[in-house]
Amino acid sequence: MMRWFGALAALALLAACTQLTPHEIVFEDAARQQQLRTIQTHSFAVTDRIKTMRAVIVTLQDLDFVIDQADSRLGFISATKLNGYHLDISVLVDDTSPDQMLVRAGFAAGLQQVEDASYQEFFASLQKNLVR
Amino acid sequence: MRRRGLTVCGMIGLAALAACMPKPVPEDLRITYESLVSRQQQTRIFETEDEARVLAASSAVLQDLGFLIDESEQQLGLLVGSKMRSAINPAEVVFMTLLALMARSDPVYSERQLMRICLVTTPSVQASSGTSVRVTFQRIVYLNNGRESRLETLGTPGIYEEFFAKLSKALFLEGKEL
Repeated sequence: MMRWFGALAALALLAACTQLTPHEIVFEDAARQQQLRTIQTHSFAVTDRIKTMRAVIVTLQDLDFVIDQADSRLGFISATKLNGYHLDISVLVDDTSPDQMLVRAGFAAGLQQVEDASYQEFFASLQKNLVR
Repeated sequence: MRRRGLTVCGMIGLAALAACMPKPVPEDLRITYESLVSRQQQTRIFETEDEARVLAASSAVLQDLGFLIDESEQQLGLLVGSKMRSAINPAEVVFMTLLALMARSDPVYSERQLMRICLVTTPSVQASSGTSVRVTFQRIVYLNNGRESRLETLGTPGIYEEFFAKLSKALFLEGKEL
């Protein structure tokens, strides 16, 4: 009898968890967005956008990504890494600042979590290829 | 009772399998010594400064190999191609069918594979003149139920050597290692 109560309580708890609405998924947590933007963006003291984009491509190849798309006018590159998992990245190279290049990277691994430290590792790898 | 035991064992097995599934870790985004070895394996330098010519010859080689060009960006020296081929291994199909018959379920086996290639040309910084070409390959194997069964980067030296031999022929130039 107790076992049935336990099972019912577990089911009730599960039912209480509400599914995210499409609106919540599109806009997500605003505070987290600001935090994520800071983690995802890194500035480099270079002024050549194409050179920076080429360095991003070299870095992605070094890290076993295969490029999916690239647009030199928009400064956009997307790539995928397959290593038992499926890791997607999109990179935007922004040259609106006169003396530096802003690089913003975004990772997605399906429903799996990508740790914030991944961005630091990626930018450290990119830095190595930018000074090469 | 026995059936319930089997179900519990199955659930534990699935949970263990899920725990073993690889997931991205920050260290995967660090350039290591192995990354540099791979770079050397995947790169050749051709003695021409005409990057557009190298890209055109490369796209011809990709098409000769049956790849469809998915993306090209001349200013970045980029070509991306892919091809879908059969992944059916008759021995696997027979084995999985027998297993499915015993378990009274549908057989699951490798059916298709998507090969992807990414080729990047760069004005060489190693040599005084020249264009470096780097290629990387990926493969996704799909099961007959549509699920992905293998996600991998191909790293056998033979693939790169054969590819660069074909590119050398197309360019009438010898490719030098890094």
